Amino acid sequence: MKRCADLNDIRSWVKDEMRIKIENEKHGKSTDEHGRTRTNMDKNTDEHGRTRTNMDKEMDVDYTSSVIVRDSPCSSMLSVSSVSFSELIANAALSLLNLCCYFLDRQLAVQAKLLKTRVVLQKGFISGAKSIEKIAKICQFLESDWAGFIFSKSINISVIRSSRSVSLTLPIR
Amino acid sequence: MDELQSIIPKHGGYRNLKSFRIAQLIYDITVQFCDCFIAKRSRTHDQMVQAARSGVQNIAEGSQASGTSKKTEMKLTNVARASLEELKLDYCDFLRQSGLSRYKPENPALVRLK
Repeated sequence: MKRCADLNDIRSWVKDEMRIKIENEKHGKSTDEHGRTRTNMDKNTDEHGRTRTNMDKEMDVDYTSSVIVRDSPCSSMLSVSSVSFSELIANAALSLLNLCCYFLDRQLAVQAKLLKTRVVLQKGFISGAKSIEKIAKICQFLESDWAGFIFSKSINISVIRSSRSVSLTLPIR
Repeated sequence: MDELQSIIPKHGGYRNLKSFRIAQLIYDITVQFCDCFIAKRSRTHDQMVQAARSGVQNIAEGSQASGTSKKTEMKLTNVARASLEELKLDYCDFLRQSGLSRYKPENPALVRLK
């Protein structure tokens, strides 16, 4: 299974899907959205194609025990069988949109966490062993990419932890 | 240069972001989709293309702004998220109004897409 990375991949995916659907139709495998074969009974109808009414349900008429389910796809499915390009592409776009929104949500959560950390640090005092420990912990959490951005207009402080020296700039209060 | 980097840290690495890459792909698909299936003169055409574009641009802009302001980065990322949500609604509306079905995530076709 390959991941669609650009428009060409999407085009080839659409072509493949069309081919699969056409092959399925040729072999009489008209399937529903879950890949299951649809039959006349799927729409809760009786053997004559009539929809079951509330009256039937109240009288507890059990058609499933007496009705033989035909093997052929129902007529409604045959009419829909001409696969719609727009349906495929719109659904693909929706799927990608969901994925993108998920990544953006995660990105926002990390950004919010970092912003909160920044606020906490700016409100705290720089003196005292406890606050230095706290800063060192945050440094570990923020290491590499994130260590640089936190502070501005302030003094430098070095925190040594786990035989590593971390240089920090803290606000003067 | 080093001094500048200590004041304004690394920023603008948006091309490596997964969200940016997918948003760009969505933009490309949307442009093609709207050209094929939505009337060019309709408002929806422009709205969809602009929403997709806004998603990409705001992710890039947010990443670029992150060097100087984390708050701006967050705001712009949120704008991108909102634009994509708007686009999602437009696609859902299209499917509903055209009488087409919306696939469930476990649909074999969508599984093959990922």
